[in-house]
Amino acid sequence: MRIILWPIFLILITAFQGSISNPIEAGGIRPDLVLITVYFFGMFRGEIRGGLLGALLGFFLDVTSAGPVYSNIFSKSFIGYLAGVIGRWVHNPGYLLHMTLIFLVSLIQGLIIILIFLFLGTTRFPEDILYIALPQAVVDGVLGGIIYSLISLVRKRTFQFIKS
Amino acid sequence: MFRFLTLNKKILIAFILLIGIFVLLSPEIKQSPEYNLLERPFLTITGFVQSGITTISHGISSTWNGYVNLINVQKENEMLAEEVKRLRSEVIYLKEQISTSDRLTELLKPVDSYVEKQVVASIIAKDPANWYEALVINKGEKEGVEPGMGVITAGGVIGRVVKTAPDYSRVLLMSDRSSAVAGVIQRTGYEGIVEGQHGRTLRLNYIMSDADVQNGDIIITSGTDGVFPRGIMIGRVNRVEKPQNRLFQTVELMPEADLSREREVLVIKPPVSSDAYRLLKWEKEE
Repeated sequence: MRIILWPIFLILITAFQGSISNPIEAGGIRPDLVLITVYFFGMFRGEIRGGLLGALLGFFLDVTSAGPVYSNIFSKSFIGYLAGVIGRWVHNPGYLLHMTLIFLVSLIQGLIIILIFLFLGTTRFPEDILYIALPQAVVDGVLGGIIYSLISLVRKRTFQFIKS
Repeated sequence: MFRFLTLNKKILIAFILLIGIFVLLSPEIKQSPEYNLLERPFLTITGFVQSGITTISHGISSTWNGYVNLINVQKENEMLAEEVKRLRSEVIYLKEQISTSDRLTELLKPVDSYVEKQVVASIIAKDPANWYEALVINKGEKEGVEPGMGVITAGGVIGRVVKTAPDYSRVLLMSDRSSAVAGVIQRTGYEGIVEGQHGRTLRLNYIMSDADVQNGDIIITSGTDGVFPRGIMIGRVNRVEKPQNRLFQTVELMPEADLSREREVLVIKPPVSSDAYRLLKWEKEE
C-alpha cells in the first residue's frame, strides 16, 4: 500500500506547490511545501533517505520551475541530509525548535539560489535577501511549526483514543 | 581494474557525483528550448494533476460566485470589466495605428502588426518557487506552440514561451528578472527595453535622461524584438527618476495585465517585421 501511496503523495505535493489554486500564501510569498516535507522526512527517517527524497523532489521541482539550473536537486537533497544529521543529535524537538531549524534550512536554500544568481550575474543585492530569502524562510518556518503541532496533536489524540 | 574500483568505491562515487553536479549545474542543459526525455513524463503527470486541481477549484469557485453570491450582478460586473479592458486595449491599439498611419509613408506600411498564428491556452500552474516568475499553459507542440512565441491577454503583454513539451509550455513572465521586451512610449515615441525586476513593477531601460517621460505615459510594444507586433499594451509609467550626471533615466512602470485575474492567455507567433515582410514580398515577386 505504501508503495502506491508514497508516489501519489509526492506527485500531489509537487503539483500542489505550483498549482494556481494553491491558496497558501503570506504577503505574496508561497511557502515551500516540498522543503518542509523533505525536512520532516530527513528528520524522522535519517540522512540517507532524507537526501534521496530531497534529490527526487528537487528534480520534480526543477522540471516545473523556470530556474536557470537544476538547483533544487542539490538544495533539497542537502536539506534532507542535513535534517537527518540534526535528527540524530536532537531528541524530541518541540515545535519551536522545528520552526527555527526550518527557518535556517530555508535560509540556506535561499543563499544557494542567490549564489547561483551571483554566478549568472542576475542577483539583486540586498533585495533578494530582504524581499525573498528572509520572508520565505519566515513563512516556511511558521508553516513547518504549525504542521508539526498539528501532526503531534493528531498522533496524541489517536494514541489516547487507542489507549482508552 | 575491478579491484581498484572496489577499493576506491567512495572516491568513485564522489567523482561521479562531482561530474553530475557540473553537468546539472550547466545552464545549457536546463535552458534548452524543449523538455528532455527525462523531464517530459514527469511534466505530463504533474500537468495532468495540476489541470485537474485547477478545473476542480475553478468549478467550485465559479459555482460559489455564480449561483450563491449575487448571480446576475457578479456576471454583469465581470462582463463589463472584461469589456472595458478589451475596449481600452483596442483604443490604445487604434491610437497607435492612427499615429502610425499619419507618420509613415507607403514604404512603411504597418505590416509589422501582422500576426501569423494565435493559440488560446489556459494557465494551469505557476512557478513553484518564489524566485522565478513563470507559468505553465495547457497548450504545447501539438497545437503549434514554439519557444519564442509571445503571450498576451486582453490587458496586454504577459511574457513569452521559453520551453515546450507536446501538451504543455512554460511561459517566462515579463516580470521575471531575465525577461526583456522592446517597448516604446506611445506619446513621444522614445524606444527602450522593458525589463522585469521580480515584483509588481517593471523598468523601462535605455531612455536618455533628456527624453520627455511623464507619469501615466503608456508604454506599448515597439515590435522590434520579433516577438510581439507593435502596439500591444505593456503598462503605464508610475515613477520617473532623472539622476544627475547619468546618461539614462530610471522609468518604472506598472504592467496593465493583471495575472491574478487571468485564466486564459493568447499565444501569438512572432510577427514578420516590416523589413522581413518586404524582403519576402520582393522575393515572391522576383
